[in-house]
Amino acid sequence: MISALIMKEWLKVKWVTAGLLIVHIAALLLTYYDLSNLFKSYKANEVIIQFITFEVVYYSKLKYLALLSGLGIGIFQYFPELNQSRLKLTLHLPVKEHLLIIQMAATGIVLLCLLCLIDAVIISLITALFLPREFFDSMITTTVPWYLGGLTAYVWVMVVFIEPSWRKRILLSVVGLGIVSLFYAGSGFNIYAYSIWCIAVLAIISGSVIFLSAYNFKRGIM
Amino acid sequence: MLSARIALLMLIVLTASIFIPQFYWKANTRENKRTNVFYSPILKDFIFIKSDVRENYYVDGKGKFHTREEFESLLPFLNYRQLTLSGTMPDSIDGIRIVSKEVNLNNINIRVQPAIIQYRSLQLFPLFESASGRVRLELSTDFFRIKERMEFVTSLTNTINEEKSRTFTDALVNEGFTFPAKAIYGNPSTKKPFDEGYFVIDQKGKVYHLKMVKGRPFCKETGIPSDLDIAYISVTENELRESYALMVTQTNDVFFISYDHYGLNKVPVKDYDHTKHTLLIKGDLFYRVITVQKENGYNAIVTDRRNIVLADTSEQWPGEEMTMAGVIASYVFPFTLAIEKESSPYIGAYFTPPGVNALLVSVIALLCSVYYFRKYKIPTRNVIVYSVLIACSGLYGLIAFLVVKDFDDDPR
Repeated sequence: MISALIMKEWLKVKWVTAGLLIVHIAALLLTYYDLSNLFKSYKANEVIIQFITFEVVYYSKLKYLALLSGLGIGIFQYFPELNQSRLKLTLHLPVKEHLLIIQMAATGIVLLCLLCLIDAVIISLITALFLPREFFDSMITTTVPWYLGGLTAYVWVMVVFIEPSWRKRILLSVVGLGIVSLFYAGSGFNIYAYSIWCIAVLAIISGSVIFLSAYNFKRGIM
Repeated sequence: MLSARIALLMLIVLTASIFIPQFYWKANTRENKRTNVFYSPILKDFIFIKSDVRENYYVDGKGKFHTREEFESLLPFLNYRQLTLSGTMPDSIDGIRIVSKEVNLNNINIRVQPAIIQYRSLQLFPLFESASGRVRLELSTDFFRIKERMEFVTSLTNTINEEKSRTFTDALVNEGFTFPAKAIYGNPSTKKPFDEGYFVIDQKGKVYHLKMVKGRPFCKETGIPSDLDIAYISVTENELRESYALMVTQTNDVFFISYDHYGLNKVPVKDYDHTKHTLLIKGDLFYRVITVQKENGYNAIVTDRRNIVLADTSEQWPGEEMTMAGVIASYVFPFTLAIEKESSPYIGAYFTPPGVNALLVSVIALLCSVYYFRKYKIPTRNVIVYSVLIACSGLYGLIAFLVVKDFDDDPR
């Protein structure tokens, strides 16, 4: 039954995921060509010193991609549930409520992780091709919060859509917006260097709220 | 479900403690007032520019206001170009003949901000040719790192220049350097009059001076005590060539590293905390003014060029907490959490602990919630979490309670 449920989730999000994949690939290609053209236009040492001095985030096109993907997949996955009250039927299937919620969230999270993984692998290759490894290290600590922000945005979309009460839905949207914004503060390299674990914990704690919304939904707590 | 509910409550408290005070202080931002401290060789006294958003006020140490022109003539070293243009530059001060070139050479300005001290740049640096015979410095085609050895990465090919790496690594090893480097300080910019390379701290805390002279490594152990626990070195590269750099230690001592065998000249500073305060050193032909700028005030010391303290001054003004907005905030916000602060370049959880005043609002919030619980006859066991939360986090806890307001105690 679980595999059938995963298929159901996949059918809802496959087109949006395909669209997002195209956007991710396009952003990565643009990043590659921008960097490549910089090295064609200026001496390599001039480019590198500019990058170091002004902390040029040459992969800034990726900044809000995971967020966009989290929102996109989340909305396409949960809006139909809300609109057509499908979730009520799903939650009454002879499968544990926790398992149902986990498989629903896992489908979106796995797709989102795959998109982030594509970003991470390709931007790593681009970095390794043009720049010394210090840039690679800083790129990792700079981009991880963006990916986590995307996952957290997905989780909050799920929380808000599943929540049965409109009052709570609006208030939770505000809370979610605040939480997600914490992943995109500041600019430059490595600014989350000393807080990356804190925001990872924040993403995990956000995840646990899904169960409360699902619990409220099943019992119709308003 | 209790754990999920607690998680949600905690998240609401977290967001409330970050964003509500942030919005509050954005709405209650004070007008920015600044004081720049100088020492007049004419008055033999401090003189200040006190500025707000409207105007600059020129005030001397006795509180007398001056016009801009008077102020400029009282600080002839700082304003020598303007005074020369207007033909009012004195020929001599205290019997010493004034030569424009000397004035220019001796004017120094060093600023060390807490964020710069905490900032760790990408640990990849260009090594300039210090004796190229050219007027301008030229950017090297490679960048170095000092990890298990000193490595030069050729920027065009992104590969290691083995020969150069070996030469410089050997030079460091011969001087007794212990890899990897703990910290590297320098000015990786061609926009400086000359190059003094880098000051590198090794694993044992020893400080090395490293530069490239005619393509060869210049590497010298400075003899600076390794137990000084250095927080920051600001390489100054000033034409005066009196000191290589300004050094700040973790214990808030400040030294100039002298050109004379890297000797340390202690800079007199008062109540300086490098994690919070900005250190400003303004120097001219006669004096050095060392100012510690704090959030709500400053203190300044003036020394002569032999480093002897001549006078000091300080000023304190009411902080934000003393304003009406600050007093209200001290009652309303039990604590605040900020993710950014001026003195750090990094995102973090910067916590401001609760004050006694906040207890009042916390107690009122708790009483309101107890009234609510009683009114709707909610069993005590269902409200313990909310009560504890409101008691600990006052207004934020009350907001979290009003958002969630869910007393179903599903035991799962």
